[in-house]
Amino acid sequence: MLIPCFLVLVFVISTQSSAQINFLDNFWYLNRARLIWQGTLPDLFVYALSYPVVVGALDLVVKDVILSAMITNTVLLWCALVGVYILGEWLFGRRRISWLAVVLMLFNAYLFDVLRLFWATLPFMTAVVWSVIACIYVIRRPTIGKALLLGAILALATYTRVEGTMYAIFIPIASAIVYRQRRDLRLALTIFFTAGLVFAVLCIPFALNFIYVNRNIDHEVSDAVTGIISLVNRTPIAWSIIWRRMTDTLTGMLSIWPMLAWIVVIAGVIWASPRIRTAQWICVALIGFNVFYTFVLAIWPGTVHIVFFIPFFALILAATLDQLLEMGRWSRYIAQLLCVLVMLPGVSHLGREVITLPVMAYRTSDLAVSGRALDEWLTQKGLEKTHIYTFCSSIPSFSRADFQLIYRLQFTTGWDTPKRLIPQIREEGALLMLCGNPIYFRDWHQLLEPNVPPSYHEIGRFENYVFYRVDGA
Amino acid sequence: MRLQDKFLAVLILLIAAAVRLNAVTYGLAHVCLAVPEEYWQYNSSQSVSLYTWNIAPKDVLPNLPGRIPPTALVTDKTDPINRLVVRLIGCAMGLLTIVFLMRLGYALHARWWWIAGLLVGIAPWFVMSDRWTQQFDTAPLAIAIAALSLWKSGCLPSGWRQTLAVVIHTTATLSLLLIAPPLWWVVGIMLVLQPRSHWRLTLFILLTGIVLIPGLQTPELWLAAAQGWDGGVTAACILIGLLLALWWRPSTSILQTRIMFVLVFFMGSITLYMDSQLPQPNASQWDLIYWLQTRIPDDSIVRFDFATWPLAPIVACPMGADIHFQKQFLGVPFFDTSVFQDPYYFVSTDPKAVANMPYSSQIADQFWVGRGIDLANPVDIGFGDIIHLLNFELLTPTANQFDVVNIRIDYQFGSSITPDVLAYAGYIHLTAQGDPTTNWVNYTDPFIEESGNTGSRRVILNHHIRFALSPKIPAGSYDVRFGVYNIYSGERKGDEIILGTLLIN
Repeated sequence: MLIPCFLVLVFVISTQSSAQINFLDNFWYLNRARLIWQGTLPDLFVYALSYPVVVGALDLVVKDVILSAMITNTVLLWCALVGVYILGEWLFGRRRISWLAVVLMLFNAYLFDVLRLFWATLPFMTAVVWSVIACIYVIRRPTIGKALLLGAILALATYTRVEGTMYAIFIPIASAIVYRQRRDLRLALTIFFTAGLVFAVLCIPFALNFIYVNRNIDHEVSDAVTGIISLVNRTPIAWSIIWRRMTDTLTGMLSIWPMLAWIVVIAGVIWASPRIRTAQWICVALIGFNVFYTFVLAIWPGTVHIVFFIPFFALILAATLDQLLEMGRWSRYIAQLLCVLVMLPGVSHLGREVITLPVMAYRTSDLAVSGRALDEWLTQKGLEKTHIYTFCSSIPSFSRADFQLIYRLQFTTGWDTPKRLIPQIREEGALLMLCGNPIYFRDWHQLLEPNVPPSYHEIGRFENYVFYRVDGA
Repeated sequence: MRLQDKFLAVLILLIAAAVRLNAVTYGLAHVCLAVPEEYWQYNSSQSVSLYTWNIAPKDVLPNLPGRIPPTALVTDKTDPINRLVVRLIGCAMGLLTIVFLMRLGYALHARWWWIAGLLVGIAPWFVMSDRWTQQFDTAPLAIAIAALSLWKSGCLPSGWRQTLAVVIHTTATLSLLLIAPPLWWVVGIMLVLQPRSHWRLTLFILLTGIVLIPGLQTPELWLAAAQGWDGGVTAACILIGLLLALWWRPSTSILQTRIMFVLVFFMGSITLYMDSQLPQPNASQWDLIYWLQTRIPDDSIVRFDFATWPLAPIVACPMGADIHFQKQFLGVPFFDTSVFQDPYYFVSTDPKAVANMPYSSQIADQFWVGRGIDLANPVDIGFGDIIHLLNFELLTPTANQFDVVNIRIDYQFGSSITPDVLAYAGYIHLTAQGDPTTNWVNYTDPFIEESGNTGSRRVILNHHIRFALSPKIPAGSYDVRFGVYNIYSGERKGDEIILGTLLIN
């Protein structure tokens, strides 16, 4: 009963004030979630696709995209926790380790910040956990069906985040282990080709879209998603940036778990008992793999991009504490004390969130009120079905109107350039909405300064939102 | 340990303490007396060391506690007591190093253990490393602890004592990665020297250190430190050599012992000589230093005689006034002095030495500063700290009505040029001799504005002030007066001077 209760609590916490919902790329993903189900896709639509698809589907039912994202995050967390439990059972063979890992993960303070993200972080963490489960499942019971499942989950991970492609390495690993365990080359090759084929077929649209965008629209896409490779290709090699990435990777990892937890885990891995040593090192390898591809591939290896090791760290920590619990009376006391100390930051963070944050406050926020009023105004003007392009990032999530954010991630060119979008807006008979917020895309500055360009005709304004129709001139 | 050996060890420690504490307070009271060994503390770009263990590059995760961006550890505002405490701690660590070294030497049955102790006690590398706060100055102590615990771990039977010795050895060895990154290679050697492999313990201490110490999490700053070198690292390397010698050749003949003792005694003499050479300016010397700091133009050549040469680095004061000039030693007879360029200033205690120079100033009764720049009418007249007039010439001593009068001045801007000096300008007044109250010319020259382009202490040569005479001016002799005033308040800066007499026909 504890875990469902806690999940409800987590859900309540994740429904925070709208100010906290306004976080990094949240609004763009929420906007994508709705646009996808209206048939509007960005050029690189395969990028982090699965999460907005799910949120958008739920939004069709719930009619509240923020609530949809919160529900999705809660369900994904549930899936991740179940995954950690299963991994604990399969890798360590002890229920106590599984439960302890689940509890330790739940009380990780940084996980609450992850829940606040309405983008591919939590989904990818879940996808990683389930990719590992699928891999172990294939190794335990190697059949064609399991191989199909492995390929499909790995493809899903790729569509969740680009880094998911790295986990395709599970296919040869699983095949090699199957061969080593059973000495059956035919079975191992069947597993390899089946999972590989499924993965490859499912990823064809992904690859084709990526290549198309890279060649025809945005040459910097590959740089942005291949991190350090672009730095190494420079002349001279950008060592200072590479060192900084290394520091950021390391400090990013250290900021996710308390230092005490790190020391316990280091000791636990180094002095692991033979019973759990293999499982511990598997988890270490998975963490190392996570660190490696974050360092190599991520746009920037900041904390938010390196959280995927949380489940495996929790498993090692749980196994170490379990080992201590069994060693004797004093060790048991120490383990209990360590457990409390490791969870203390998470508990205090949780306590603060519960006390300070009003539940579902986003629905009564100023933005939500504005969003509803804007919807009414648009209905009065007969514009409720009109497609509206805008730079005003926060309002589309609180309105049911047909907004499309003009947005870019790290990509400096290619996406939503005025050269491409303005003719599109004109052809669609769509509107452009400005609200005076800063626009960071330089190529738009010439067109939007002064505030009312001659070729745009104002057709109305509501509060600080001004609507323009784009003429042919 | 025998009683006489104990007595000898205590005596060596007392000598070492005395040598270290001698001049331990030097330079704390004035930033210009900072010793070069401590310059690194004033740098804003720091690398990893024990003193900067919590350093992290700017903008790296501010949410992690305790991290500080690279910044100067010491400024001229730092409390001298804090700096003294750090130096005293350094001295104490130096004494501990000697204790551990002598203990190890004694345990290895080296007959010359006390000479080794005395060497570390009085040799200049160790004394300077301990007395001054150097970046890697704790390296010798870490090496001494690591060496002693390594020997202990090999001697002790299995048990908690041996484990403790191994833990101390491993920790001390790995601590070198923080306290002296240039000695990373020593870490590997020391770990390999362990009688048995303790890779688990080593890995645990190393990884825990990386987790706990921000300085070890930043490759860019660590690599910068690893490429550095200072007196502490030199002392550590000499200590390693000494330890190897104690282990390799514990027995020495009486002759060898005597030679070593003489060598150590000689090194101690060098230390004391170096201490005696630390400049301790008296009040008159400080007057000279301040005068030079306000008057030496950037990048000029300044020659010092034997008596004033030790003051040159204090005048330059890299960590405070930061005066850039080329220091030149007095040419020694019979040696080639053709490479010497003419100095802008020649600083001497002998008035005869500067007698042939175009102009000389006497500072604090006992110093003479000769100015080498050859001008027609050299003077040195200050107008506050805004400008110093170096030369003036009335180029048109006779004139008629309507004529233009031409005056040349050469001057130097003051030492603390700020935007406030823009309020000041030079003026020329023309008054009839015998009637100073009637002014026939009131000419203002805002040449001080140029200080904004040139900066402090810059010498400006051959500046001409030209003004036309009024047709109504009667014939006669006139005093040409020059002064500096505030164009807004009219307040004069310094005294007005008479540049010469103008005869109007």
